[in-house]
Amino acid sequence: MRRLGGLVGLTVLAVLLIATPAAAVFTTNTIGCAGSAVITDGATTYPANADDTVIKLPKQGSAAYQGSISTVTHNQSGAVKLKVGVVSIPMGSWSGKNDSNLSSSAGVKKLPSALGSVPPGKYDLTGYHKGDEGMCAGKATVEIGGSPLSSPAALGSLGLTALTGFGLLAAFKAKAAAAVAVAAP
Amino acid sequence: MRNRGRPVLGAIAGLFFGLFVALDLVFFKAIASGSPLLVILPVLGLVVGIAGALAASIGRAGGPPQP
Repeated sequence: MRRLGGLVGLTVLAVLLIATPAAAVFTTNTIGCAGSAVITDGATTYPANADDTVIKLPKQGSAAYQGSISTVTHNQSGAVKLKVGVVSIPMGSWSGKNDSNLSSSAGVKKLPSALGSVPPGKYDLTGYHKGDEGMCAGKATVEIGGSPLSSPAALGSLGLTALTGFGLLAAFKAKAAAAVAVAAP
Repeated sequence: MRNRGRPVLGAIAGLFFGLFVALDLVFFKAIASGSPLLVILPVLGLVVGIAGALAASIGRAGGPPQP
């Protein structure tokens, strides 16, 4: 019964932590960055805006993007990366002197092929743009679609969850051991 | 005779159980890969594994000896 109470407590804690809302946010924005993209896999279109809670991302396709800054930057650089565990997948990068004083950019970029091997799930997308005049940086949650049961990594993780669960139960089950007895002479 | 749990097995199994539960939550889109649960659940599993195994040994070792 005490064990059941512990499990209920853990479940409540997990639900509270899971319920924390995820959203695209600027962690720094001193130059007025803004942007949006329309991502397509050929059949479905996924709009993505800077204030979306979750951005849906197909495993392959292209993104038509547009970005702007209210303060023109020079000697600038930037990058967008998708964090998958300890690995970061580069989604795009740019750099230049910006001698022509451009304050916006637009184009179409093909999604990296590495996305195809990422299991379905929610991942963190981070990006920044910086120059002599300042910088902006932000992060968003992206959802890669598909059934987890079709992914070898997800199936492997489920199997190992069950295996380690049995190990945990075995650890909780007390085993009999002979006490060391000191025989009296 | 005395009974005892397996705290080392509990620690190892608990740690990896927590890790794989966290990974399952990512794959089933319940949490993002940057969630603090990815760190919290393995640590929680480690603690629960050790505590559960020790509790098993304390709970069953105190009984009267059988004739």
